[in-house]
Amino acid sequence: MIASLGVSLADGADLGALAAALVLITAVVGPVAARFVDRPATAR
Amino acid sequence: MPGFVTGLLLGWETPAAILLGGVCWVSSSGIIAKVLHDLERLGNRETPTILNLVVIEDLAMAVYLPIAGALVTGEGLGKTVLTVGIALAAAGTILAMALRFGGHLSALLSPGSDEALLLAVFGLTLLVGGLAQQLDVSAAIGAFVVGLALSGPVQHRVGAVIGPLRDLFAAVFFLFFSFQIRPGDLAGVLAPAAALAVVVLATKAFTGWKAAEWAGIGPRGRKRAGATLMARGESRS
Repeated sequence: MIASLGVSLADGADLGALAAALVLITAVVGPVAARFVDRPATAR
Repeated sequence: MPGFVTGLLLGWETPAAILLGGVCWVSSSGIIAKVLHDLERLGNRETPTILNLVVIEDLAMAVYLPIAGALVTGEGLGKTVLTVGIALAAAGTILAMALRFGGHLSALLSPGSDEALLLAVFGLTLLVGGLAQQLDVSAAIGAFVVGLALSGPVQHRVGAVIGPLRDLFAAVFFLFFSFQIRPGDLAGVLAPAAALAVVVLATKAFTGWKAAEWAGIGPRGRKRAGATLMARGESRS
């Protein structure tokens, strides 16, 4: 949505690609981090 | 700020850098809602803090999006200020109406069957969300205030009957999210995206941590708040 605002800009294509990659990375890392951040440390 | 600086470092024009700043700024309300539900954290102490941050970010978009749009199109200052004013007035009006007439709405919906309740709330959510979107306010804010307006037994009944729909729409949301990504475009930007992701994941984790700390929540809740806010949606999901 935000990146699509810049589609008419000279850097619009780069912006779209970078935004997509960033969103993909955070959309994967975020939920995984949320799942495991609260895991109690295992006893040795 | 990290996105804006990255855009400038990449040699982009200022409007593109400002848009990348926006992309890095906003957490995904859709992903966060799903994470909170799936990890059974809706009742946690840090959850209201997380939701407050998400709603504030969505409200701030009512200011950011018209300004960013004006920068891209070269729109005049007067028209931009008018658009921002309309968006803020719309958000305030929707919130005020939800608080003022929420009790009446709950009483109106209460006598109906579960099917009537489901259709009424679903239709109302689409209507308010759509109107909000038309006025440059996040549709998520519109849907949020419909939920805010419902109270008492109706609220519990709606929670039960709308659950399957929520799961269906969550699945569709993630499916369409994947459709927006073209794998071929990603290879060339993977390195800067990964570097930027490290920074924005850290800044958002810090934001969640500090907000939870200010709310008097313990270290474990602060960590959960920070991690839950990490996912960016790049849209008003």
